[in-house]
Amino acid sequence: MTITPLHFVGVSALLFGIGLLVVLTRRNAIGVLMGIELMLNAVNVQLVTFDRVYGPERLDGQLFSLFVITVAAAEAVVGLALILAVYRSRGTVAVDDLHELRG
Amino acid sequence: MEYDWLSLLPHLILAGGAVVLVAAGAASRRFAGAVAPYFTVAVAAATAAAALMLWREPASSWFGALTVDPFFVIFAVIFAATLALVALLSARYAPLDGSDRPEYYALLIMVTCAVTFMASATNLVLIYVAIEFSSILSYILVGYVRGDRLSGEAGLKYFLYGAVASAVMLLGFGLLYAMTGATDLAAVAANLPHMGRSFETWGYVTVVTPSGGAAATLSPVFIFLAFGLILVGLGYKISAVPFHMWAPDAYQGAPTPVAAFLSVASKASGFAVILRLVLTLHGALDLVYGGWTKYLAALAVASMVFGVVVGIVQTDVRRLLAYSSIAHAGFALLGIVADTQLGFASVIVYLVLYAAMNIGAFGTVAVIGHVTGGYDLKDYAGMGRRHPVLAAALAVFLLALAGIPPLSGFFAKFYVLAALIDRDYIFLAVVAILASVVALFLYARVIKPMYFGKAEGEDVRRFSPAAAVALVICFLFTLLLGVWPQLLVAWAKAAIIPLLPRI
Amino acid sequence: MVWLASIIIIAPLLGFLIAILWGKRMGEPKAAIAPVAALGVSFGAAIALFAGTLLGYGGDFSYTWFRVGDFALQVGFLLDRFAGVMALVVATVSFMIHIYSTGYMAGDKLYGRYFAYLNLFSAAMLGLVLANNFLQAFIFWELVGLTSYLLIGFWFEKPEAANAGMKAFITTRLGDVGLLVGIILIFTLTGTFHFGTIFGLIEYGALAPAMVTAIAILIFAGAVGKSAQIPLHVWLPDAMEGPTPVSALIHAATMVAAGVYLVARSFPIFVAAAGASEVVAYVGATTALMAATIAVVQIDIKRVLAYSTISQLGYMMLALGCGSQAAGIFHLYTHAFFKALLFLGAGAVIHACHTNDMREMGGLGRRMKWTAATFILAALALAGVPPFSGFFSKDEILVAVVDHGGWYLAFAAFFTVFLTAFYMFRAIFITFGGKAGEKAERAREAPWNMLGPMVFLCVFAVVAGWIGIPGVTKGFAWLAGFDVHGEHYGINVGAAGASLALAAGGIGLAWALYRLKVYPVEKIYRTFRPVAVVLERKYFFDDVYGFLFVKGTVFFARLWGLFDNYVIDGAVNGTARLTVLLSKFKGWFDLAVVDGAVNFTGWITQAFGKTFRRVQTGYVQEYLIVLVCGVIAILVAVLVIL
Repeated sequence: MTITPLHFVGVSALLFGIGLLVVLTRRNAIGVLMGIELMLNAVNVQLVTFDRVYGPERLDGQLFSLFVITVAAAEAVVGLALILAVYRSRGTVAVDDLHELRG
Repeated sequence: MEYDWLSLLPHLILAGGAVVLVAAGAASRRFAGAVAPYFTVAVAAATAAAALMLWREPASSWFGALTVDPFFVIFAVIFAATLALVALLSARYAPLDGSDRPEYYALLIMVTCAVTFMASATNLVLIYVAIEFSSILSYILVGYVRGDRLSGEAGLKYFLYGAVASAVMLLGFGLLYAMTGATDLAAVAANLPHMGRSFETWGYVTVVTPSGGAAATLSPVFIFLAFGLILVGLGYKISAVPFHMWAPDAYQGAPTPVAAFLSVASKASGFAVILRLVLTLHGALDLVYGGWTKYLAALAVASMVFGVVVGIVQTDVRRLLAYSSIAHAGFALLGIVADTQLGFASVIVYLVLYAAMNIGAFGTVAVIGHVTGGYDLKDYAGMGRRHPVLAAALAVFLLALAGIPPLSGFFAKFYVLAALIDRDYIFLAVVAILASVVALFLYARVIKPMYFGKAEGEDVRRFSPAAAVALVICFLFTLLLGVWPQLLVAWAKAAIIPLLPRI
Repeated sequence: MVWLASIIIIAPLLGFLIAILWGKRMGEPKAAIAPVAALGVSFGAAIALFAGTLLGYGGDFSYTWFRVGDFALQVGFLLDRFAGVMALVVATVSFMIHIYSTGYMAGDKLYGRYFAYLNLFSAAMLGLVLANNFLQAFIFWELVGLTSYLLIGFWFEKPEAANAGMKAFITTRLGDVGLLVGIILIFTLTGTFHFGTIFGLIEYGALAPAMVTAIAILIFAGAVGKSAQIPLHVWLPDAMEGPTPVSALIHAATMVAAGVYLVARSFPIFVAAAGASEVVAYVGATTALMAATIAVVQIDIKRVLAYSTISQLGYMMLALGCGSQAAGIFHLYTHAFFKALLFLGAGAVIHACHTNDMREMGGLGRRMKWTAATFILAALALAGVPPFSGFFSKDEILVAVVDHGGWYLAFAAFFTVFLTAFYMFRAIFITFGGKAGEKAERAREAPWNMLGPMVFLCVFAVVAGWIGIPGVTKGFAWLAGFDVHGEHYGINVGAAGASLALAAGGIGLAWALYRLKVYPVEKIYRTFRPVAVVLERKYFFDDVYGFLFVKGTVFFARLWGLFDNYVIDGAVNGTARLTVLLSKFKGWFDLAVVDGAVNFTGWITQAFGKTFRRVQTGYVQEYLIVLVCGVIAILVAVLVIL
């Protein structure tokens, strides 16, 4: 069979779904962070795929995905720093322990 | 001019200011810490001046990534003013004392830089990066108070929520790109109605449409989906129901001046992006089945009702104001729902007026919290006697938020309602008015203990002159623009007219 | 000119803000500095404005407040000579009374707040006379009413004062409803609030005659309430519970004249409206006569003056109803000075004796020479004795009434002259003449800051009328820029002679009964007992209202009791009043906050709020599930559409 962009879109959607599930179910904040990374990379797959669809002379998709990777890195840095700060003040990184602010 | 450095000037001033502040902090912490608020005000003033200098015919530069037009200028001025006021409010804000001060202000300046980019960006890539840029810096600011349990919790929760919301939005951007092969907004707008071609080529239609019909039946669905996903991210930015849930926690846990910034600049930047997307992609939006305004209207009504109803039972003033800001976001959204020149202009008017009164309200809460150490309604008992000036100021800001006539809040709401009635959206107007009436209870809950509660605890001590200056500015603005809104309306219209879709 | 007008209004507003926010902290006497200075600025600006209008720099200045679609709401100033004269009168009297109050209110624990209210009142009153459209005028009109309420009930620990404030507020509100309906009617018919445009349309005959009459009557209803005309006059005597300088400023010189001003300002409507002028004339004449008869039997010095004020306001209305705008406003202008002065004199006496009862005074002429002298001069002006100011304005009214015709109107006008002279000099002989009463023995002359304004006003009370000496000066109609359609300006020897004779008769009768005591008053009283009872019960107005509105009163008492608790609780702090004040702008705010009925809504909302807040569990992953639900809702919408 031939591999069409549709297959890549399928992979991307799957990845995104898995990422979302991870985000919703993991107790550990770092695990949640990894789920978010998965979601971002799912979009990257899509972006790169369509970069090929629209031809080699335009690079918008690749460019976009590079920016997404950079942003994801920055996000991870800040996320880890916040997790660390919470760990210092509470000694836990479980997201469901964080529910003093509510209502 | 593709390399138009002048158009970048406001952004560059902000970025440069932040770098200078960090460098100065490295050289002398004490000196940099002491001058940081005032340096920030200077940077904000320079930014506003540079932005006003750019008030001219819309000009696109940097290969279409940026557009500088009156629309951008108005938002840049809102952001710069917010920055200056928040910096003044932060000057002696006690909870920040143990934290690194120059960096705090550098972060504030950088967030402002990010939101300024949101107002000028006309390329999906730049829009995404600017949104993420501003979100990431906001996470840090919310969790900024070192060793504070609530601040840390708020920061992390805000981070997790925001990251997911923006990932969903990114998927929407990816869909738009997939359909059009472009990231430039103008090109997306041009290609979107004709996108069928590319899908046909790659054999999509047969798979995706159950009816096996032509691409024309397919495209609206995907356009709809893409816009829906983008709406998640932007709804999170403006804290509209059901994407609002981060807001009360973040506002309560954050240092109060930061909450003021989030509730004003962050929200306004979200509206800037929504307005620009709606106006640029207006032709494509019309492909959305059944009219796109219905969906925004649903969001708006949900926000107004939910914000007011849940806000009314809050006992923490910061949470109460957070719910109030959710309701206000819903109200402002109605201006976009009207989908007319007056409607779009009314959103800008709303945001400007709302900025002054909400910073004022949060600022007063910050000052009161600073001197009494409490944010609970109980701590406000007898404030009218313990500090008449602060209490009167807060009362005025809250009444303005409620939309009592001579104050600016009335006009903010008035123009939105006028736009709705103009389009015969009577039901929405009635709902909005009812929500406003009930919202009065929300604010009365704070005013009542101030004047009719028994004064417990000692009189409020003096507070920082910088904060006083900020509050006086907000106060004058709230009062004067209520009396004389006409100029602002003229500006808002001038900003909107060049962007209106030419039909 | 517009700048001057703005300064006139903004200066006292700033004074109000300063006094209300820092008055308590500044304490006495510092708290009075800003308010008095603010009025000084207004006074100066009002003089300049008046001069400007005389020199022809006046005009109608309109600005667009805001615009929505085709509708533009205009605000602005109408700065003609009429407005100039009004602003000058209000600013002068107000400035003098501010100075006087620094002495009168010394030692009061709410000193700063008092000046704050007085400033707010002045700003509103000046705003009213300078407005160029009905909407703006109505807003200031209401604000004036509100400050009046606050000041009547200023000593709210006294139940009489609190009740009097409430009574004034409710009674005038009845008239205001009429006025509001009238303004709405005008707006629906013409699409504008602007005075000039509306008058132009009416003169052109663009409106149905019946409508014009309806509008005129509705506007007059507002004036009846504000200017205490029968049958809504009952609040004014009770309003004397307020501090005396307040009575002088608000309930004698300015606010109560606002109704007369409004009718005069809307004169083109009344000219065009068939029958409306007749209503004005007859209500005015009846009020003048009735109030004067009641004043004859009063023993409280302030109540004598209060009924006298009602009577004189009726006189002004009578003049307007007889078609003489100039005579009515001329009397308003002279009356403002001499009646304010009379109240200040009464205030000085009350301040010295600590009683309002004239029988407990007596012999004060020797102890308080300056007060007595100014009081007598003002009384002569009121009685219409030449060459004092009241003579000239009263004469113009009498001429207008005679020209207009109607035996009842003429009888009322002339008989009131006699009664006025009699009751004023009755009061003078009891208070200042004879032997010292029990409370008068330790009375001392008022301090300089009270005497100064009195002397200043006394000068005006004497000379203010001289603008109307026929053949010598140009006449008041010229000063106020009124259009005198063939109305002659000149002295009518018959009317002047008759009124002078009647005034002399009144004074003589008072002299004979209360000074020479040629015949014991008690005997007359006993002989005419039924008449005396009718007069003492004030023609049973209060009794009838009391009976008619027993149920209503209970209801109002509850409603306003709530309101009052709210206000009085707040009275501990000045800024609370600010909240209430702001609330006035939107009727529903009072209700929303105060009324228990609306609490129901609050209760429902709270119940929902308590339920929905549970959604916000604090767990961020549950927040995200809600977000995902939002996404799913969008997907479902997509499928449904497919």
